[in-house]
Amino acid sequence: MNIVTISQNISKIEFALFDGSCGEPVSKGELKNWMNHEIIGGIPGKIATHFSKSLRKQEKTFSANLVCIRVAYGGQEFKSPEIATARSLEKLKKIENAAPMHIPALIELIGAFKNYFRGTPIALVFETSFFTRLPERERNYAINPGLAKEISLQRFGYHGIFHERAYEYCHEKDKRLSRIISVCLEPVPEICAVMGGSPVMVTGGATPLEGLPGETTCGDIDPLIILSLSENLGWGPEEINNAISRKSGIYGLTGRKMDFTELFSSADPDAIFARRLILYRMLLATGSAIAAMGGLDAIVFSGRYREIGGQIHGYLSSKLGKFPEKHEILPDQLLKLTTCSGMLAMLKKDRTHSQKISLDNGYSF
Amino acid sequence: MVLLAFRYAAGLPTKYKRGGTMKIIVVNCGSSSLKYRIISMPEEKEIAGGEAQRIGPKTAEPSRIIHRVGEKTETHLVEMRNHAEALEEVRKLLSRDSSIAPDAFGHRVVHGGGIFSSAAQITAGSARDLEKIKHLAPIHNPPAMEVIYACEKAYPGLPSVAVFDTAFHATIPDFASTYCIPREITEKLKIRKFGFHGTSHQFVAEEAARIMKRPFNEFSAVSCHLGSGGASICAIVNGKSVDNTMGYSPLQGLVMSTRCGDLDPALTLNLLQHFIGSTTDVERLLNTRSGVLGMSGSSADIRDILSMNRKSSGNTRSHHTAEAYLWRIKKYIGSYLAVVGKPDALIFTDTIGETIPQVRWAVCSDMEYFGLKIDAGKNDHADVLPSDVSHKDSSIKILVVATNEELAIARRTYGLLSENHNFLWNKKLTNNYLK
Repeated sequence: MNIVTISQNISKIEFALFDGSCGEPVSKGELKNWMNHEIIGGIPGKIATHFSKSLRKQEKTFSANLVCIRVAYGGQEFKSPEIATARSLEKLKKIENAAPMHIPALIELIGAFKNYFRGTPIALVFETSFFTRLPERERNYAINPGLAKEISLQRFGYHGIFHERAYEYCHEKDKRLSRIISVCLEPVPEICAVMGGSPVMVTGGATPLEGLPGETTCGDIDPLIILSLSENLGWGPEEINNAISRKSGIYGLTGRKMDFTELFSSADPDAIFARRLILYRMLLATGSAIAAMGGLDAIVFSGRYREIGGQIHGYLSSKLGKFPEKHEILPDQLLKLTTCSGMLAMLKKDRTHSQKISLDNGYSF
Repeated sequence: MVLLAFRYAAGLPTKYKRGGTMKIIVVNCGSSSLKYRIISMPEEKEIAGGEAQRIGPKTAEPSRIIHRVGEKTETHLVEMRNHAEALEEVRKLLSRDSSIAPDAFGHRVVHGGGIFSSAAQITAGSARDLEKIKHLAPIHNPPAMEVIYACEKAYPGLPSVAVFDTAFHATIPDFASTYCIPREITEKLKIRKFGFHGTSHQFVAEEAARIMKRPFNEFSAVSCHLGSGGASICAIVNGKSVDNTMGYSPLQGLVMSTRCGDLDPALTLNLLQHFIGSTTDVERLLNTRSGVLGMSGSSADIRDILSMNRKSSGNTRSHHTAEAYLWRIKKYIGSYLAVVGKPDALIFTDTIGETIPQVRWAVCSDMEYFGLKIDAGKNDHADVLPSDVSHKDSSIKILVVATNEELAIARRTYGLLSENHNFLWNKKLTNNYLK
């Protein structure tokens, strides 16, 4: 079974071809600056050509049995992966306003794949599906629920595929490990407390801007700061958005573009300060996650910068007297996870779990 | 703006020397109220006190001053269009009894900005600095300034001291007080975490250290100031604040009566678009119509919400409100226990923290991982404060301590004035000697 996986963000599309064994991809590549109406229609053809050339060298021919597309946001509408149908595209259109940068382009991309790979099923795997099980107490912001609904104001979390797989990875190793802190180390990092397979606390918010600072994203800030930027600098929403999503985080602190691997090895004083700050924010989130679960069995690092997990674990251990002595590193890459975890989840599991932790019996968490 | 002379900027009479008796009027301004207490120092004895309520435009009920001297309490209905008029009415009441003539003022000022890291005597210079930062706390700082000027006018010659809610948090390290937005912006607009309720956090932490017989500079704790209005949690290491849930403004952090607390930055932007760029509308929504009131739609007081839930169970707005309120406190306690490392105590104070056992129970249960265990029986019967509600197996004391911000302000005022007197006196002696 040949599976094509597609993962995209604003700046690029990453694609890979798996032969169904969930091992390393047979072929992979990326396309930059894809979010252009005139380019999107031709993307599936370019990807197919890339795979064909790559397989020719291995004396194989390219064919696809399934295309898996990772979707960053599916709101409450998508509680599990779905095969793209007219109905699912309608559902996506309904939540367009909540992610106006992503969803319209994504719908167009899905259409292009449908056209090119006629008859091949296209599966949509959502990062947010995992978080549709987030308890109300964690999901809700403290504003009027009517207004919250109107402007799609609910906490999600943005690396659900990683966190879900992190839990499964630990649980497969030892069934007694049921309270997991999953630290996803991507350009916008995220910490999630997973208990009994369900998320109970996550640093990400209604958008990836909330939570831990990223390579260019601000993380948690006082809401009044946004208003201060508007009042004191005369900035409109677009300028503010640009500053807090593209010029903040590590970039904002150090003044230069730097990824997490470089940050954790740099001797530059600004980088040392940024590292100290991010580690501190991780400590706060870890304490919060432990309180949310009433304890901790394991900590797992994943994502493209997962190798710095050792340094983070060392720091957290030094601060928390009682902490798992060892940490786990999730070996899989996102593209592989999108195939294995997402698809296996769709094929094998009923994802509509009931919430594991009920608060109905008073307020004892 | 009239800047008055503040005549004792240059020196203080000998009655302000250390050990001397001083009657201090502590003034605490809210947006439409003015609380005052006359405390005799250093014996810390309250002589009189009261509260001017409903200052400002006319409301459904008349403006009034509830004034008490000793055991006697009286209510005066009087129109007070602003805080200066309220102070003048209070002065009239106090002037009826010559035995309570004040010697100094201690003013609660919420925001000290980046300028004031400790209590400061009001001089023409410090008043100018206060003017520069009053926009940082638009609800609290302007009425406090109005009263500072009114005091100088009504009691010419009496020294005034400003005691800041932010001062205790001046020790928060840079890595905890820095926001990750472009440096040029934080430097230009002087944006950083300031933290609030510092006077209360410091007071209850000092009390807790005294109860536990620990020197304050070796005492570490997590302090939960849970008021019926504002609320914040503070991490304290060796007697110093190292973090606070409030931030650049008192809006960040916990779910409060009408304040939203933490919010995704993009959502503030969404709201700006929703309100077509009106920062005033968004600020008003987040500060005065969110939090417990916004979520529940029925009351701004968490006690009402908890009481509603006792009467009816189920998936109601009040149920979600109570859960979100408690959950946020619990998560922050976890964060700060991790930061402090080996705390001596977890402290609860102010209206909700002192009087609602259900809140303490909910946020302390299932926290054994941190060495924290609450005793159900002690918690339910913590009527006399201070009270220890920790279980015998808890390695961290859980203490309920009554806050007394006015007394804390009186202490700071007394301390600063006698320090200034000694300093100026010594300086004078030194100068004379040099001559």
